[in-house]
Amino acid sequence: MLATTDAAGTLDLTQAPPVPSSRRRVAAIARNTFREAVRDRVLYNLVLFVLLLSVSAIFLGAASASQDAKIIVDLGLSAMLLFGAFIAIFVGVGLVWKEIERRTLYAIFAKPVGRGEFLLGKYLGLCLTLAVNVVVMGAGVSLVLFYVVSRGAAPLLAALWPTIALIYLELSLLTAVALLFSSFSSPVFSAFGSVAVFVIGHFTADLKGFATLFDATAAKGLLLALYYGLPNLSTFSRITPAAHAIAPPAAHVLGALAYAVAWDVALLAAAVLLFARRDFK
Amino acid sequence: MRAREGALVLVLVLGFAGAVGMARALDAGRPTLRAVADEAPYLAPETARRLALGFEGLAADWYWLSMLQYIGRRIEESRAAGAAVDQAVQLDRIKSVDPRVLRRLLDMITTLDPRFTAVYEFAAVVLPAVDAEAAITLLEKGIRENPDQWYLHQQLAYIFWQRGDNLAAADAFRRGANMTTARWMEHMADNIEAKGDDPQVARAMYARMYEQAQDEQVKEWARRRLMELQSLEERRAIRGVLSAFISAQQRCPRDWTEVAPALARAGLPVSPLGPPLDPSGAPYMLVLSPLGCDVTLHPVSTVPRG
Repeated sequence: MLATTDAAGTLDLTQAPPVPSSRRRVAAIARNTFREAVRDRVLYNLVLFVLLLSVSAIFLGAASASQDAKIIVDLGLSAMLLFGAFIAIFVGVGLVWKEIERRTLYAIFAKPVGRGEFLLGKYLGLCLTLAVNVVVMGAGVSLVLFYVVSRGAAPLLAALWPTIALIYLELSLLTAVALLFSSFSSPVFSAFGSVAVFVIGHFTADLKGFATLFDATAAKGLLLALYYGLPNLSTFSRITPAAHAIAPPAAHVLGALAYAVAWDVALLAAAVLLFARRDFK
Repeated sequence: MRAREGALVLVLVLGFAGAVGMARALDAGRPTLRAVADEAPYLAPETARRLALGFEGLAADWYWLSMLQYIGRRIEESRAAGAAVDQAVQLDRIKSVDPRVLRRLLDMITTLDPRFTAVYEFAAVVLPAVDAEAAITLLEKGIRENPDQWYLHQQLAYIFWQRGDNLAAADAFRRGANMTTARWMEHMADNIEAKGDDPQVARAMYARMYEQAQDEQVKEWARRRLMELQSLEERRAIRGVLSAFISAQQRCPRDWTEVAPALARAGLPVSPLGPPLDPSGAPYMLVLSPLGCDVTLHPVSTVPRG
C-alpha cells in the first residue's frame, strides 16, 4: 500500500492506490511479453528470412525458367508460415513455464492480476510479436516482387496480403494451442502436442473424407469427432493460389476470421480453466 | 587466456579440415551416386500433396526446378556425346530423357499445384517427343483443373497437330474457341481440318504459341521455329531466282551481286554487299559446285537447321 498526499499536503496512509482496469492489466502483460520476445532475439529470424529471399531473388531468375515471381511468393509465404509456426509453438510453450521457472509468476499474482488476465496478456503479447514478424516479412516479399517483376506485380500483391492475413490467423490459432498445452503440462509435452496439432490440423479435411468410407457408425463418429474436435488448418492455406495471383475471396477470409476467433476463444477459455486449477505451491 | 583461445581456434580449423579431407577420401572410394533429380519421385503425387502440410506450392517449385535440371543435364550429356543439340529449338526433339522420370515429375508438379500452367505449356512441347499419349493425358488434366485457361486447348491442339491427327487438333481448337470471343481459334480449327500440312498453318500455329506462351523457354522455342519456317520459305524463293538466272544465262551466278536485283524484286531482304539476309540477320551462302548452285545457311547464322 502506498502513501498518498491530498491537495492540502496531508499524508493519508489509509487510501489504497487506484487499481488499473482489467484491460490495462492485460495490455501491460502483453506489452511486457512483446518486449521480452524482442529481448530474446525472437525477431532475429527476420534476418534469416531477408537473406533467404535476397539469395532466391538473385539466383531464381536463371534457374527457374521465368517462374521466379511464383517461386518467390511460394518461398516467402511458406517461410513466413514455417518461421511463424516455430515462434508460435516454441515461444508459446515457454510463456507460462518461464514465469514459473524464474518464480516471477508469484510476484505477478501477488498483484491484482487474475490468472485469466495473465494468460490473455501473454497470448496477445505473442500475437503482437507474430504480427510484427508477419508484416515485416510481407513487406520483404513485396519488395522482392517489385524487384523481380516491377511491372505486373500488382495482381500478385493483391493476392499476397489477404493470404498473409490468413497465415496470421493460423499462427494466432497455433499460439492459443501452445498456450493451452503450456497451461497444464511441461514444455516438451506442450511442444510435441502443438506440433502434432499443426500436422494433424492440415490433415483434418481428409478425416472427414475418410469418415464417408466407413459403414460402422462408431468409426465414422470417431473420425467426425476428430474432424470437428481439431482445428482445420487447411482453411488458412492459400499460399499456392496466391503464387498464381489468385486472392482468397473476401467471404473466405471473413469465414476464416470467424473460424479462427471461435477456436481462439475456445482454446483460451480451456487454458484459463486449466490454469485456474493449477497448484503452484 | 589468449593462448587458450588461439589453441581452440586451431583445433576447430584442424578438426573441420580433417572432416572435409576424410569426406573427400571416403567419397573417392564410393561409386558416384545418381543425382536425385535423375530419379522419378518415390511418393505417389496424391500422397505428396497430403503430406505437404500447406507447402504444396513450394514442393511443386522444387520438382519444377528438379525437372529443369534433369532436362538440362540430359541435353548437356547429348552435347558431350557429340550431338549438335541446340537447346532452345530442340526442346521438342529431346529424345535422351527417360519418359518415366519426366512423366512422374510432371504428374507430381501438376498434382501439387494444378494451376501451374507453365508446366502444361512446357510439357506440350517437350513430352510428345518421348511419350505423346502422356502429353495428351497431362494437357487434359490441365484443362480439367483450369477450365478458364482457354489457351491450354491450343497446347493440346498443337500435340495432336504434331502427330498428324488434324481432326483431333481441330476439335481441340473448337473446344477452346467456345471459351473465348477471339475468333482465331475457330479459323485455326477450319484451316487445320482443311489443310493441316500447309506451311501457312505451321506458321500460324507457332505464331500463336509465341504470342500466348508464358514460359520464356517455350516463347524462345516458338520464335526460333518461326525463324526456321521463314528461312525455309526464303530459301525456296532464292532457289527460284537462281533457277531463273540459270535458265537465262545457262550458268550459275558467280556471286550474289549478279542476282541481287532479282532477289530484291522477290521481296527478300538483301545486304548492300549483295547477299540476301536470313531472319537472324546473317547472310545466306551461295554454294557453287560442278553440279550447279544452291543456297545454304551461313555458319554464323542462328536459324535452326532442322
